[in-house]
Parts: sequence; C-alpha cells; structure tokens
Amino acid sequence: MRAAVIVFPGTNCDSETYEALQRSGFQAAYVWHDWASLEDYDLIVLPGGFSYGDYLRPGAIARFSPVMKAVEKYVSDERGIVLGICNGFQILLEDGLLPGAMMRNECGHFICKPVALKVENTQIFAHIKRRVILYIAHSDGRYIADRKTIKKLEEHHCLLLRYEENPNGATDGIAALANENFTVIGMMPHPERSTASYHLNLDGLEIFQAIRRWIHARRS
Amino acid sequence: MRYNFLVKVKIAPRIYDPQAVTIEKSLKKLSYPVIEVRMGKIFEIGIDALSEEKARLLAQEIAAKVLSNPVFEVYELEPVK
Repeated sequence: MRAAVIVFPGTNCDSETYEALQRSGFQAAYVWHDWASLEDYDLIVLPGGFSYGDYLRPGAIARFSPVMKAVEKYVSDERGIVLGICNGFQILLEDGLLPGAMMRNECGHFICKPVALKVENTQIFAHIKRRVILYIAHSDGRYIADRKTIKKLEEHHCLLLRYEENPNGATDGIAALANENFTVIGMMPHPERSTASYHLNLDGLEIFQAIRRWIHARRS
Repeated sequence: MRYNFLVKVKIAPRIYDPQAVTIEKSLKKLSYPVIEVRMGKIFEIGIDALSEEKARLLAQEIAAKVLSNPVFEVYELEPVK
C-alpha cells in the first residue's frame, strides 16, 4: 500500500511522518507541493509544520499549491484516503475539504504536551482501544464551526477523536474529524510521534494501522 | 490603471480572540476607560484594472476568498484615492 507525504515549504514533520508510515506497513514517498498527480497513492498525508510560515492564516497559502488541486481531484474521484495532521488539518479546513476552521488556542500560547483522547466509535476507529495518548503541538488548534455543522458531523459520526481535557478551547473538545464518506481525515494530535519503540507509547501506530485497515476495507 | 484599496480583516464579533482580550485587560490595568478591544489585519492592495468598478469587484473577491476566512473573520473594503 503506497502513501504520499506532501512537503510544502515550511513543513517540518515530513520525515517523522514518513518513518511512521513505513512502520505502519505503508510504502511511503515524499511528494513536493508543486506536483500535480497523486493517482499512484492509496493514502495522501499532509504532515504538520508551518507551511508558508503560517503567513496570513495557518494553511491559507498552502491551499493554493498545485498539489492541493490534485488532492481535491483525488477526493472527488474517491481514489483513496487523505489524512491531514496538525498543519495538514489546517490546510484541509482552509481548502474546504473539511468544514469549520482553526483559531488561536484559547490560552493564547503554543501548547506542546501529551494529551488523552477519547476514541469515538466510528467506521475507521471501531477496532482500536477507546482511549489513546498522543502529542499535540500547536498555537492554532481551537476547532470552531457553527452549531449546525457540529450537529451534522455528530449525526454522520464524523467526529473521530475528542480531548478528555480540552487544552485549546476547541468546540466540544474536537481533536479529529472526517468528511461524510470518511475519505478525508483531519487530526490535530501527532500520531507519528508515538509509533516507535523509543517513543513513550505506540498509540499513534494504532491510528495509522486503523487507517490502513480502513483503506483495505473500502477496497473490498 | 492602478486602483488602491484598504482591506480590514477582523475576528467576527461573537468569537473569542485571546490576543484582543489580553490587550484589553492590560489597557484596563493602565486605568484607561477602555470598554472593548478588537484586533485584526490591514492589507493595502493595488490592483491593475480597466475601471474602478472592475477593480472593486476584484478587491472584493480577494478579500472574501483569500484574505479572510468567513468561518471566523469579517472584512471591510475601502477604496483609497
């Protein structure tokens, strides 16, 4: 199973994400932001970092890259799964592939720490443990959307992860969500930072492996 | 012909902005009779267009599609003579 790690100027979690994907059974490859074809991949990952220096708003400039046109086509063709982590999630929101937006943390500063997350019983994460510990590292992680949007996300079981103790003021403690047909996933925590024996835990590995199984299940 | 515009982007009124609240609190601490502070960004853009009307439409498109995020921001467009 092939996975692309998209690299924008300012992306800084690309190599960790690449290694995490390899450990999770994917054959990973880096794809530069001016590349316009993604048909060869089963999973597209937009990794964390500060694409275009977070200028204007996080993700606001990256969304106009040629590769994002290819990501949009990839999604509309239902070719595979798109996963945005942290800054990647912000890019997906700015691009409108996921609803809502990310704002500055309620506390006003950068947060970097492990957090406990409740794993919602969804199609993707039905078979992994109900509580995972993952790292967060962000200044703009307060997910906001209007009530109507949140209600719709809940009704379609699109909310994937919630913070046990809300660190950033996100609406309803939302840490990860998907679109209605579960082909686009955005998550604020960094699963790639919990995938190796030298990491404190392997909960991130569970997340990537669940996504791999989900890709497999969609095919059959 | 060049037409200039000022685009003011602000956080929408009902949305909590920690930066503005921090500034508001410190101004109050300095005993200024401040009731509210809101923060935003200002962009000066020069547009090449055949008429002022066409330039204004382009500026509006830029403000709405790129410079602001409608989920939590509002913008104002002002022509500069």
